[in-house]
Amino acid sequence: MKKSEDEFGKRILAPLQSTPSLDPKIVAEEKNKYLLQAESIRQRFIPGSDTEEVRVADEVLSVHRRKQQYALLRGVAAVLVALIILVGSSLTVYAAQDSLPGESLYTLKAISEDVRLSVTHSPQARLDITLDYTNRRVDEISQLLAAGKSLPAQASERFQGELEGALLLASQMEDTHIVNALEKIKSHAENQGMTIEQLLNQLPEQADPAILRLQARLYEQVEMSTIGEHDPQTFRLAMHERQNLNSQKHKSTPASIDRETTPSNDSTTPFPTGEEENPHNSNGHPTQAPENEDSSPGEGNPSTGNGNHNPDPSRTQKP
Amino acid sequence: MKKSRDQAILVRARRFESQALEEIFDCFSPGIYRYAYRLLGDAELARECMSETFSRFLTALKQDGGPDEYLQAYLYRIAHNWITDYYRRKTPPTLPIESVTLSDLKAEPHRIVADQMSAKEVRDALAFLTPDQRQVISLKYLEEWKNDAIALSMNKPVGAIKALQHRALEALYRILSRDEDFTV
Repeated sequence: MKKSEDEFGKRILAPLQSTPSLDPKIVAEEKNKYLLQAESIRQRFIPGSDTEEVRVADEVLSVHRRKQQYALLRGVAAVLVALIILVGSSLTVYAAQDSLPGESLYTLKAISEDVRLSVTHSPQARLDITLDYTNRRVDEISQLLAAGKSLPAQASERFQGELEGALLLASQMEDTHIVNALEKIKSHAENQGMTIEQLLNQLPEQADPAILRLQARLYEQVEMSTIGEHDPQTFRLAMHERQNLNSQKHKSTPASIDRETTPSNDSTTPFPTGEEENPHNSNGHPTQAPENEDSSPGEGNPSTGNGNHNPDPSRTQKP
Repeated sequence: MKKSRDQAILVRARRFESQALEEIFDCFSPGIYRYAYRLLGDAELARECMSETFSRFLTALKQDGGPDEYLQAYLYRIAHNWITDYYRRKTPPTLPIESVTLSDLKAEPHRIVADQMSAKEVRDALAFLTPDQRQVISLKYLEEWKNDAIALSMNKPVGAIKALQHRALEALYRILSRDEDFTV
């Protein structure tokens, strides 16, 4: 480096040599800021300073624990909600099992029975369940009569539908099983008939026509079972004719009458009827209420009450 | 600070011992401020540069970085980088007459203004240099460092420092020669 260059450099930069002195207050302020920053770092990051390592470890552990606790709490909450729903629903359904026809929970009881039957596929198991339900109906009737209440049509319809369903199930079984099935049906019907008879003897004033009809139906159940035990084929044919008869009866019966004698779809027998399978009447026309082309089949004309006061025999009415 | 002394105080600084850190600040903050002021020409900016230099130094220590020796070179490098960033961010504004800093209260006012005007012209000229050229001649002629110290500070061989210095002065000469009011 040439000396002249150095001299040039010094001379050219000479105007920058002069600098104001820094205010001691500002220096002190900057120094404090710097030392505070250093202290902050020392406390937070320097191993061995205070309990920094422990604190950091605690923080990490704490976060980890919080995450675990949060996940655990979420899991517990989900399980609790599921349990509450499950237990609540189960308790409600369980409570509904003691309900009687006409009570608010009875619909739930009916639904739970229908669901149980619908998820059972074995004919034997379906028969056992159906027979169990018939026993329940008899118990319900006993309790209603004991309480001095009349038998609602709902209970009667459901009971008759189950009795018919039991016979239908038996008719669809093979010869090897049909006899045993009919024996069971017969046994149940005999016991139930005796129970009804005892009730009527104890409470003669409760002997309304509906109870008497049920008693007659139970005798018919025993009779049909006896026929089937001796001649399954005849029994099957008889059941087939009964189904056809019931189907025709439903088709030709005005809804106002039909509702008193046949079970409705939502509360009685889960077994299908011919009408359900074929929503069209014998004329090949959709079932419609008279004078109301826009209404749904079987709804009737709202302007004339329920629309069933003047049934047209040429047009079938849905029960 | 000498090399061995730098090493000793840096060991303590890495433990964030207040006394060591205080010594470093007391020893180097005036020089950093001066250096920043000479290049920036603004007291507030120079203060900001000094503050940021020491803050970055602490951050480097926290991250197990920072120098093992030659502390002064390290600190000036931080300051220089800050100044370079400032140059890149913003063209230095024209110095208004009311912001003239009276560095020498005994001097005549017209002389002070003339000095400030010259200082501004030199700073503007420095702004045209590359960062390395600017750093070399600043350390050489303003801070009066030896070439080997500059070489350490810039992590370059002494020969490269001399070359940078030469080219920087040539460039400055060319830049300032265009200014009729400036006597080269």
